[in-house]
Amino acid sequence: MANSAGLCTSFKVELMVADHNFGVSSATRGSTAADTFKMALYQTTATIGPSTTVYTASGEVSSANYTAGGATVTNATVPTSSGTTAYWTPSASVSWTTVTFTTDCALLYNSSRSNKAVGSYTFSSQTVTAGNFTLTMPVNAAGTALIQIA
Amino acid sequence: MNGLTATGGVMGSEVVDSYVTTTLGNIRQADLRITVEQKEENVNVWVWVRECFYIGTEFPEAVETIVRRDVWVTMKTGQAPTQAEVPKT
Repeated sequence: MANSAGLCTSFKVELMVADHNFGVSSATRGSTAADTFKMALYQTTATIGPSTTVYTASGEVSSANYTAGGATVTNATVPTSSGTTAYWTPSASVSWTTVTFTTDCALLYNSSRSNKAVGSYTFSSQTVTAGNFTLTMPVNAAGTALIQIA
Repeated sequence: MNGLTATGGVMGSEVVDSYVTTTLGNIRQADLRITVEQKEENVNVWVWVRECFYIGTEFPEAVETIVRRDVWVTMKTGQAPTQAEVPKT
């Protein structure tokens, strides 16, 4: 097994029961603030993918200046839609400074909701050596956004 | 164009103090050969890498080795391609 990309299947189900709040209000849950979402990085030997249901420390990268659980993503953009596609993207890059590890996968998860997994995103294996790792988000639009429901 | 230009502040700060944090500690930028290269582009991501090779004299055993490597992964799209979209090789 290896890491693979895709929205987590459990996330799709959880959307149907209002488990995640990417926006600033949720009438169903009664909350007035968006949940906190985080991104964690995984080694090439991990098995993160659409079948992942919750954040796990198993297979996560380890380094000075990297905290287990990853980093909080900046969320200043409410979900929106275009045509028949609803979408959302974090509003800033996620980066780690002066780290050393090898990774090929990032897991987005909801730390406000028992660390439930949202989606996994893969790239070729990349080694960072005493340097910075920056994950830059795609354009927040239908066809490119980080999360799209078409 | 990509995450490199969007997050280039680190490079800028190094120019000011002329030192770069590396596996050898803080090294003068003049003792490094720095390359920036696009390592990958596919339907989902661009990957840019900056590599710093040591070319100084203080650590002869480290000459021409990579003492710092920065990576920028820029996602083009958050969705994995469907099978129909995967380019044939």
